[in-house]
Amino acid sequence: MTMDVFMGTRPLWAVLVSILAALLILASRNKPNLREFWTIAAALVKIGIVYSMLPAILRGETLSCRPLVLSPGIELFFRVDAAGMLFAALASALWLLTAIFSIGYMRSLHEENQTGYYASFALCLSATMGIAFAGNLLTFFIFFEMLTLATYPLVVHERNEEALKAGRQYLTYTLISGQLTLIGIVLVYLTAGQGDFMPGGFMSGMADAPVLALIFLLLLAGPAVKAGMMPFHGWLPAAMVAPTPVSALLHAVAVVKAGCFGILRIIGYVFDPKLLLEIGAAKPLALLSGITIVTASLIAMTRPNLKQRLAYSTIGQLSYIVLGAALGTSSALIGSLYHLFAHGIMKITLFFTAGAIYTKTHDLDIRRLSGLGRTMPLTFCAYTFCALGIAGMPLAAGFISKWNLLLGASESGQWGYAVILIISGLLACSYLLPVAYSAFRGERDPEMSHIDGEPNRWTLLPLLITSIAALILGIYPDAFGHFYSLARIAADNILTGTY
Amino acid sequence: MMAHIPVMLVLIPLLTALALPAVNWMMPRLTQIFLKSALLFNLALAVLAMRHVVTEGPWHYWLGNWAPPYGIEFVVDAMSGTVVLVAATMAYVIALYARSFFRLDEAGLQARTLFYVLFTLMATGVIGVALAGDIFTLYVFIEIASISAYGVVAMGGGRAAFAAFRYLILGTVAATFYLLGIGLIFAMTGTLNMAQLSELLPPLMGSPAILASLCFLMLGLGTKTALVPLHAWLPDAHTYGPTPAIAFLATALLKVFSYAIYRFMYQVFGGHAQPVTAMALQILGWLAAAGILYGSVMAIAQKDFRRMLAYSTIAQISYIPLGIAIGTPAALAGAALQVISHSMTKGCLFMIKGGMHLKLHTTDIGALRGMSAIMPLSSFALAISAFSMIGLPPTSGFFVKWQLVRGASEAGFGWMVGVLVLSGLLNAVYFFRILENVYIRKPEQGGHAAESHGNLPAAGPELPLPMLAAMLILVVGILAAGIGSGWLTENVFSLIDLAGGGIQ
Repeated sequence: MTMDVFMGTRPLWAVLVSILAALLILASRNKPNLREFWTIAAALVKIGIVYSMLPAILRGETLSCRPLVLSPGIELFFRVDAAGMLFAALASALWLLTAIFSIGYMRSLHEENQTGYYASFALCLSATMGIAFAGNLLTFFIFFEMLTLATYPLVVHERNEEALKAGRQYLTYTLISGQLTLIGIVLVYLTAGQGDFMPGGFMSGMADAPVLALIFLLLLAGPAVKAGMMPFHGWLPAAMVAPTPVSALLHAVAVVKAGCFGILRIIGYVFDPKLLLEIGAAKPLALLSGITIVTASLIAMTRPNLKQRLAYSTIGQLSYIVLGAALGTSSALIGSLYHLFAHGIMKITLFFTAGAIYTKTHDLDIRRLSGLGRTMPLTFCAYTFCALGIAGMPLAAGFISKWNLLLGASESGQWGYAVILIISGLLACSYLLPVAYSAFRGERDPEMSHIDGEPNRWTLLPLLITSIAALILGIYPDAFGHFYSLARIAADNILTGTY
Repeated sequence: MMAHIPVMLVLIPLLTALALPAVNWMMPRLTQIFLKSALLFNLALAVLAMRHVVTEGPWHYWLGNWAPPYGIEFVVDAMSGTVVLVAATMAYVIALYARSFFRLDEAGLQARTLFYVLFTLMATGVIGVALAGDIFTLYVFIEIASISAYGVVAMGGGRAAFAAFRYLILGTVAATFYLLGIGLIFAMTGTLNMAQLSELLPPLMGSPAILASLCFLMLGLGTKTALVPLHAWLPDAHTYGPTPAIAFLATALLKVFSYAIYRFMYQVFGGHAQPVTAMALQILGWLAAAGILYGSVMAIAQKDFRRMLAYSTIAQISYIPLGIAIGTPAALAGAALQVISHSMTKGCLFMIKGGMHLKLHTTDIGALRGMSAIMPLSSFALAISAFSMIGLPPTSGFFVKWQLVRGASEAGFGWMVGVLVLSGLLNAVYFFRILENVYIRKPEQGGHAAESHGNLPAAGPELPLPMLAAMLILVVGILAAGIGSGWLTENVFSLIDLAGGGIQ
């Protein structure tokens, strides 16, 4: 395969556009409509920039941009490849929907500090773009830390003791693990002399197996914490105190996905799935993700709050991605990369529905949502469909990734993981579907009798769009942005070791 | 004139300091303009000198064309140029800040002209130390800087007098140690010029006299730069001295003594190439690491923002000796970047502290709740400075940490990597605690927001424009030095001369 490299500043602009938006948002803090206009405009511009690079990536090319030097021999380096494109396209598209949803949600709940909220949101997206397009480890780390900082104001948005506690917990987990990753990055530069991401990795033969395993563990620390891998998941359910669009952002778009994406980058572009097997890191990682999948699903069943349930569901679902990367066969990698995208679409729908319900009920205890499906049929239909999608039902996007992961597990001969994936699907049914069942068939809680209809259209529209998208993607996995092709190209890249 | 820039860098602030009382007596209205234009001019010269270093290499200037060892030599190279540039910048920015500050300060400073005289003399001393090419001229400038520093600290009033007295005693003892050290060197070699010493000393390195002088110099300069355990004077002086003075003292003044340690270790005593010096550098590394951890832990324990900053200074300043001790090009670049980064960051934090003092009438950390509503720009500056202190990208503090960690791991000092990382996390503990109060917690009822006494009511503009401008210049600088650190490292810090004494 030839490696066509095109230089251009588009990746840089994709990052900068929402930083500029954040400044404009802060500047127009007294004019809510103008402020929201900047968010929407920046989201549209970002989508335009990101999708304009798509055709080149689908042709198997990459785009590079090196705007400045960070440290001798290390540049601020952006390279758009298939994997980065997949993540960036997902994040930029979902930002637009989340922004629209936020407007409906924040205004109908009369939230305070909305300016800071939208500005932090925009900064988060900049950081996410930076993570997606980062071409070397230092660039990746800079945006990874930026993401931590930009998310913190969102986690503590409610400004109460619980939110502060969650914020502190979030910072403790992410800052400490981030520093470990920093040490790992320094060690990579020290042993390999460079840190530019290469498909198939570049660490092979750079040091003895134990040293490589240590570096791998250090590098993995930051992304694993952000991805909510057990036993480092504690911050994630706590961060549920934030407003629902923030949870949607954390879970579907930015933080958690950035963690998963980081793990994929490290496994596929710094190390190599085969190298991981040699240094003995692949098996423990797969085992840990298998344990996470089952444990998180079991905990989810015990949580009475819908958002908490979704949080544990995320922890479990994201370990699919880690599992796929650890298995490292072609199908497993495709499934893993596609799940990054498919889970994003479905989980954001679930959070949107939770948020939309919350704007009406001000309560997310699942026992009290009983009977509401008859008053809010569209919302609960979207919920039900995406819940089935998370479980891996055919016709939903989740099936595509799960099918590939199952193939991957059998390709690698590790049938146990195929069983775990199937059990996880059943568990997902058992913790997500009762909500839908009681909503449609159950008795209405007397205190909820005042609820008269669907939530307002700003919140309803995004969740309908994402649930319909999840359906279309389940039938045509390549729809909208050729995400399946992108996943396949990225998996090919990793396995052949070239762009 | 261009040919005499090195000496003019020293002469301009010196003459300004001397002329200031006369100007103030004859034309009081012009005092500030005179001071600021002189400092700005000096800053421009510092930039020109730096440009000369980058394009044409180190600049050896012989005063009156007298060749060393008879004449006085000034040296502008990558490291001294950086220190001079930082000192000139800080002097100008602080002068910008000081006037509005003193105008509003309730305690009121009676002898303002004297303050500016001492302040400018302090800048003279700092620039002189950086440029001095022989170890006795270095001593003279150390004393010019230190004595004026004792004076300005004492002007804080109240407990500042005692803090200044303590500073004076310890500082003078330190200066005496320094003098003893260079006396011994002169007795052994017969010269005071650094370049000549670096040639004459290697065969003498085993002798007890040189060993003793190395110890004396370490003690003297270590005390001046507040290396743990010689830091005892610092917290009180930083807490009670007048804000603009401390903003300079904690930034440019402390740096220049660390810089002097670098000068001695590498350009006089031969660096890691000499076993004795290598040992001294190792001890320096241990002390610096102890200082980093001690300062950070003590900072967490403080309830007063001022005192927290003082301990944070002890921790942050130790990054420079740490980089010097590691002794790889990456680590030295980190140390040089820290000279720039910490000066701007800590300078900005002290300016914010001054603003809090004027506007909120308190620097108690617990009382900062709701500050972001009253002082939005200062709070923003505080956040950026805090990120730089913790070492979060894209601020300059991150790149300091990156360079130092890189240098330490190249040199095989794994434990130093641990110290640096731990320090960043400890910084996060105390700075995020403040940011929580400033941004997130709501003020208690009847808190400072309701008060309106003092010269600066709580409603109304945040702070006078020059004070805000000074802070924002530094905030932009923190971000620019972070994003531009790669450029700086490649074009400037790569010229830092280890004189063959880098670690192997």
